Amino acid sequence: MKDDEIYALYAAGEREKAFNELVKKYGERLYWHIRSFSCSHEDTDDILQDTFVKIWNALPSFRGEARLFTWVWRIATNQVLNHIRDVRLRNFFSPASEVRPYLETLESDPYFNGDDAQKRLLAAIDKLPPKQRMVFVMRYFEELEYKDISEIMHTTVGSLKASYHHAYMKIRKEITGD
Amino acid sequence: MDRSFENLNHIMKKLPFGVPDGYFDSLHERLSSVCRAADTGPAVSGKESLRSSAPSRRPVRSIFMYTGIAAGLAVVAVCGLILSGGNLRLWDGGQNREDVFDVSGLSADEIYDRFLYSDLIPESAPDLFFSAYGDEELSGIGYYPGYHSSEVGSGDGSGDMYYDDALAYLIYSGITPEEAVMILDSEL
Repeated sequence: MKDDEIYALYAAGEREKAFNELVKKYGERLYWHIRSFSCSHEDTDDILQDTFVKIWNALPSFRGEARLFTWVWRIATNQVLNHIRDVRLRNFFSPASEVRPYLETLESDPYFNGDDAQKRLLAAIDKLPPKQRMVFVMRYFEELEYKDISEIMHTTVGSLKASYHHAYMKIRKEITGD
Repeated sequence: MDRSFENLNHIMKKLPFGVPDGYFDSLHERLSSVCRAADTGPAVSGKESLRSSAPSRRPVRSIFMYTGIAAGLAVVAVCGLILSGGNLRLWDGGQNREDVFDVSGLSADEIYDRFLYSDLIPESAPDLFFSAYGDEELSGIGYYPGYHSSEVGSGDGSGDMYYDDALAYLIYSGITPEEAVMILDSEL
């Protein structure tokens, strides 16, 4: 079902049906969007559920001025940023010995099925600042258009292109050692 | 482009993670039940509705958030005074402006979001922090009286302005003007 059809369903008073369509259409895509930022399947599942609860609660205030897709992605992106912030704060207040390096977390993840090269790429991406990481992931893995990312992040296309370029160069340097 | 990185590009578009069997099949039902629970009870997160014994972290998160905002504002104020001799100025292509970083009228969430976005701006060009935002975010930013865009009159005026800001951002970080133009004009 297209976004405007889902919105029309909601506008006609079928909130639950519209929500179900949203879950069907975007559930799996949002899972992978969130997964690319969090370390574990469990965290991703939690964030995904939080996201859809927020979507459910915020549907009455959605005015249809933004595209449904960018609205949903913006909610998910904010949830991911909140999660990254919480993890950083927890790590800040935890003893250094209890904070596990990202690579170690990846290696112990039972759902990670990549090779060394992919591990290095993910570790390099993990070192980027949160927003830059977000831009890179949305462009590189999700292959979103810059104009879509611009709507999601409320940032100009020019800034996004510049940020992506910097992220790309940092990651390349990290992986190739140049 | 380095060939080893090219090969990595080819194989790494898909995220190298799996999911438990049947996860997506049951996702729809689980999310629907979570939201029904959210409707009938007090406002809870998806996680909390399934693990009702877990205490809410929201009050603690708020304390950390506001403490972080206050600390961040203090750091910015001190750095701004030190770097600019007491007067924060926007990058203006050579012209002087009186605008300063003004957080009046912004909510605590908006101030926090602004700092969260600041990693898009390099440390070498702190003034470009202000030009990364749309003019709906910061009143008065985006259209500077007397500012001359490189593409005046063509298409969307606000897009022209940000093109020049992004160009300056790239050049400040050491990229040649020719390469910067190539980056902004192409789809990377």
